Amino acid sequence: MTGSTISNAMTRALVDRGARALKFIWGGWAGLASFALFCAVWQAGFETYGAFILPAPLEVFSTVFGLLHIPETWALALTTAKRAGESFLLAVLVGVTLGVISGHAPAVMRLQKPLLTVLLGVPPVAWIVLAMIWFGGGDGTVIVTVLVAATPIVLVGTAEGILSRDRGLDAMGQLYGAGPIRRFTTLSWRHTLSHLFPSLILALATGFKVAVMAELLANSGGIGGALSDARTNFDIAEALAWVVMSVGLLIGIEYGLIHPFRAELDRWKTAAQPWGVKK
Amino acid sequence: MTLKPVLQLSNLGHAYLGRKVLADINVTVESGEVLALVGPSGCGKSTLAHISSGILQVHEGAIERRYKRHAMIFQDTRLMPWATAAENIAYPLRLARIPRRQRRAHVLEAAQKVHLLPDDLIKFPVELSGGMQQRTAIARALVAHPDFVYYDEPFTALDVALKRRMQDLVISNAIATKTAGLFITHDLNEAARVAHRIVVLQANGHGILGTRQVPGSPGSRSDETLAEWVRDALRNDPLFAQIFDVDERAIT
Repeated sequence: MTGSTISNAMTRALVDRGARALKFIWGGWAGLASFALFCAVWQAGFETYGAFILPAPLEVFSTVFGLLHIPETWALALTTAKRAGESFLLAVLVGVTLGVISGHAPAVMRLQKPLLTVLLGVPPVAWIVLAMIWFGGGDGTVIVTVLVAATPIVLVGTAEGILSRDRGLDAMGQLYGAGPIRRFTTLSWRHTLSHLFPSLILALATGFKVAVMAELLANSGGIGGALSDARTNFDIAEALAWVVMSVGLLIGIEYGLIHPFRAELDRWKTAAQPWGVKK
Repeated sequence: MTLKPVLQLSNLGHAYLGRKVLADINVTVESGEVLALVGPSGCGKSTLAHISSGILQVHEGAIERRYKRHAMIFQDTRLMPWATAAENIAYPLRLARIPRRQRRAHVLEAAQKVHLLPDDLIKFPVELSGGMQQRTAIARALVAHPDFVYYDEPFTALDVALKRRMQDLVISNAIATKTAGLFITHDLNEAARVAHRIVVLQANGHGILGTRQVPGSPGSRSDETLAEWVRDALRNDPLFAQIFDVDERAIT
């Protein structure tokens, strides 16, 4: 009986996983619909103000396709993605570590709150100027700026997650002999992860935005550098094409990496919802 | 020769923020005995269970535990919402570092005891009804074969029929495995049904008011004798006079 039960459970797990993947892809229709709506508004803007102010979406997309055929485009996009990605990972590492500490230590939390307000209050542009003075116009400037902008977001998300953990579950873990570290790894960390995703997505988006901005201002290559060139040449279509590409890159990473991971971890939240219903 | 009690609380006391909630508590649980601890709500029963199980630190007095492994069934089920029923049941085994493959057999065995079907085991707590969740929590308590179980008002939130079923479940298990236990409740009917002996806590938590032996043994008493015993106890026994006579705001 047990053998067949286990194989049944495994089959169901596989079917579940397939269904989740389909559900995820099915959710793409909603994205496609809002994209179409966005393009319609864009087209209306083009028809009202003319191609010099706002080129037609079709023209911009054909520029994007034209650029995609040039190998150099890929190199530029890769540079930006690498900078944004590296600094995002660094921000996650630093933010999660500090967040876990401050979530457990109220004194640390109280000490760092004003600091966080200051860090979040200083506009990224100010950091870019400082970083340019400190590091010159290279990877360092971009990475430091993104790090400063994204770390506090991750930190606050982690600390909130740790603080909102279920103390009842903690007591349960303690009863069954879990020490503080095992309670953290099996209970609070798992709870915090679910809380962390919105701030991870926000931090990633901030990372890309700030990276492109830093590249543009420091003229340090990447998509930002290309954008700056397009501006100098008054090539509006190309400028918009670069914007479209950087957004595309962000969407690719967010929906290709973060969302599937999150869907896998947050299965329990959607378990009681019927198929195809999105909240 | 008499066996030493499996749990002995001597002169136990506890204070929350300087307010004394428990004092002079002396309780013993004999081997194989289920002891019910009753008292009005707010008198510190749960705190007592939490201290004696080690969730809370001992501030005053001493605890002697002569059992090997304990478990607790909580009032709120305390299931991990992100884990399936099977993973929840396996949690104590996971903490005891029992290999994954061996856990599965234990989980199936515990699930069978509480009549959970294999199909339920792959569900998350949100997908289970309240009764199913409580069954899962009971299975989690039984999975590691504890020789002492704390019941912290486990069935208060359940409806009457479900409550009886769950009581039968824990009674039959306790009898079959000779598991001792401390059953916290404010319901005298429940206490008389599941326990060998009933201890009454003072309304302010300062000491034990007294002890009563319930005739017969759990699982073998008929509904009529139980109802009669409870009615008689509530009417004539001064020990139980204050159980239903509470104003929880007036506790000093």
